[in-house]
Amino acid sequence: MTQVQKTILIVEDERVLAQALQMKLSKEGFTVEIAENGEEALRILTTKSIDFIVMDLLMPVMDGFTFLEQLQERKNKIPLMVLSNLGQPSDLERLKQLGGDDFLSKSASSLSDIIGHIKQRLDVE
Amino acid sequence: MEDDASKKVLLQRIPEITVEPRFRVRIISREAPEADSIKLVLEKPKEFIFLPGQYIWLVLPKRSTTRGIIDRHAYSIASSVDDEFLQLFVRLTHSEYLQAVGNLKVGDEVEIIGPMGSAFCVPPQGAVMISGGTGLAPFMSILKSHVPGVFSLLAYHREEQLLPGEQVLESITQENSHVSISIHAGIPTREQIETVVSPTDARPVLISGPQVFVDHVSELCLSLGVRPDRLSFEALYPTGRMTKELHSMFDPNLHPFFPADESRAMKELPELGELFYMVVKQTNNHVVITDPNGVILFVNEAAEQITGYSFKEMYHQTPRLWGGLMSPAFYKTLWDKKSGGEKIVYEVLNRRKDGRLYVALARITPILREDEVIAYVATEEDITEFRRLDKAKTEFIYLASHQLLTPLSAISWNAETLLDGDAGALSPQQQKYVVEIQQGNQRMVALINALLNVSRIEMGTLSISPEPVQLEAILHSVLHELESSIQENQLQVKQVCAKDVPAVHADPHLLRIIFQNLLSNAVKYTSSGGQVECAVTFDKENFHITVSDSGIGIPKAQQGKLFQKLFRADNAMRKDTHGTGLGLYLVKSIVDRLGGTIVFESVENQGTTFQVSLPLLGIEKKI
Repeated sequence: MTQVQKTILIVEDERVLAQALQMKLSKEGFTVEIAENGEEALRILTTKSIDFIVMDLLMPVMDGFTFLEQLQERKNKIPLMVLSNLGQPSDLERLKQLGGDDFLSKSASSLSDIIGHIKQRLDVE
Repeated sequence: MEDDASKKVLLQRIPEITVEPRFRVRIISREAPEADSIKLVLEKPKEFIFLPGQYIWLVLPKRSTTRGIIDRHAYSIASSVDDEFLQLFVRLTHSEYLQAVGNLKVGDEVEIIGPMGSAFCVPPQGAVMISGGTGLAPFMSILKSHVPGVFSLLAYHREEQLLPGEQVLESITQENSHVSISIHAGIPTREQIETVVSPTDARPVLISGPQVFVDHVSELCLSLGVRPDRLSFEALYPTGRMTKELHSMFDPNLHPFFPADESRAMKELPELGELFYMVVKQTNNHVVITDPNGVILFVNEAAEQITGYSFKEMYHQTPRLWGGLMSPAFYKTLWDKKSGGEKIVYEVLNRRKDGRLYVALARITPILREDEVIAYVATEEDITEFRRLDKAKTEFIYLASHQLLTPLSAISWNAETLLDGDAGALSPQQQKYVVEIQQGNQRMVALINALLNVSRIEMGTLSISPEPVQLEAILHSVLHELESSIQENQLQVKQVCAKDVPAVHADPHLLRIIFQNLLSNAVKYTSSGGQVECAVTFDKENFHITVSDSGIGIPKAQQGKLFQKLFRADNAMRKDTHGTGLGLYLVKSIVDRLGGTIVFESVENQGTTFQVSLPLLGIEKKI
């Protein structure tokens, strides 16, 4: 592959889900980092260069909402998407305010939907 | 309104039964509108406030009995008040007392005592009280006010009915060793009366009950050597048949004016006022009555129970005694609304006397006389437990949505990985099984989502967040989801979207549920080779989503039940065993909540058309 590999950070506490996603993304030629919660993700962001973030909302230690707040404070420019089962309009409203309005419902999306979505966001084929 | 000085007299009178508001007044006029009733207009004493509908005790001049002379014989009479006069309405019965009232003439002087509940004057040494039936009420007020003194209460009830508030009596004797109470059924006997009255006892003997009861007991007392000046009477009912009376009060054949002419009913039926008083006092609902400044004048038994404060402790306080925990702004808004004469309902955190906090649902209603607020009545309900359950339910839903769906995502994604051959190519047999796993999983996800939406609808927590939406985009994405079923059934799908659909302001999440259910039904219940059409159109005010199919249709006989929860038509069950019976119920509930309509037409074996109409603008945000 001649292209520079894009690195994707998965923020997800469910190991099985993170691994399934990681495997698919690697197959598509992405480099993948996994953080189990918002706090770990913030640490990774300071040491690694990340091109895209896929994040869950309900996580121990630091949940997705707090993580988004932290990103806003740090004037984050990295594109991101939220992948969660918390799809209530009130949740979506809150996400919108925190810059997390690119939302896919976890249970309604297949892996190929998600990969397709990420590729589209990163403009890669 | 009266001046402040006289108002003070009234306020001080209610709980402390020490001064009797007794006045001599002249009869100004007398009318007999009907053969069996008279209306007396009396001078109104300036020293006291009389309110319309109050019971006033009319004392007749000396009355002789077979045993001696009794100087006081009073009967409660409903009154009406204007600026200058008091009016008493008396229904004449065979009672000796009422006959005497009927003989009163213009210019006669009579004594009145008022208002109700204050006729008994209790000296510091206490009193002997004898009651028949609900004649117990004034005695309970006296005992519950903890007036000092030694009290002996003899309470009678008819064999078939218990006394109202017997438990309250029990707690009074437990709290106060100076109170002795005995309760009997039937007619008072000389032996029973003898246990409480003795000629040497200086305490007054108060008798309250139906007319025949009062007459009977007073005769017994006199025969036991009690001096007539020790006796006080309050005759509550002209006859002893309490139950019969009660029924006749509400019998529209006997009183065709009730409740059409409420004020006339109140005037002509003093017993009705008495009954309403007892109802307010003893009802299971908290009732607090305040003056226009929020100063408490009356609380009932349920209010004492909920707040933990006694009437005496609450009297002349404001409801802040057990409230005051919310922000000052909260109470200001409340007061502004209340002063504006609005009825208000609100939830508030309050504190019981024992310190325990509770959530109350409160309602405040201004009581108006003409246009002037003369009092407020507040009712409160302890909804702490309800709130707790409600929170637990919401938390459960939250948990269910996350905890149930997460493992399903794991199953789905891993099945997908297997199917993609990421773990090595699958044999056709293996592939078939994994597809079945995935389909089962998808059904589970759909079911959980439907159940979650149904619970949100039923709990009223389904929020609506309108925003500008692209109807066409939602339609496309839903059809995309259904792609595999459409192909499998070889259905022809036609989309008709009006070219210039204006910007629609609606909740995309809820619109999606509507599209999803209508379209997936059309796809599911249309046989191979059939057609499905979805159109989006609009007129001036509404937009319409129309979904038609050439499917199995809905049997005519079952069309009426289509939107019921869990209902599935017979032919639908035969065609597809997996349905939940929740989809159309959900769609209907959402459409209702959005202020729209849903209609359908269907012929069995030919097809079905659903049309949902929703307002283009004006869908309101609801959280």
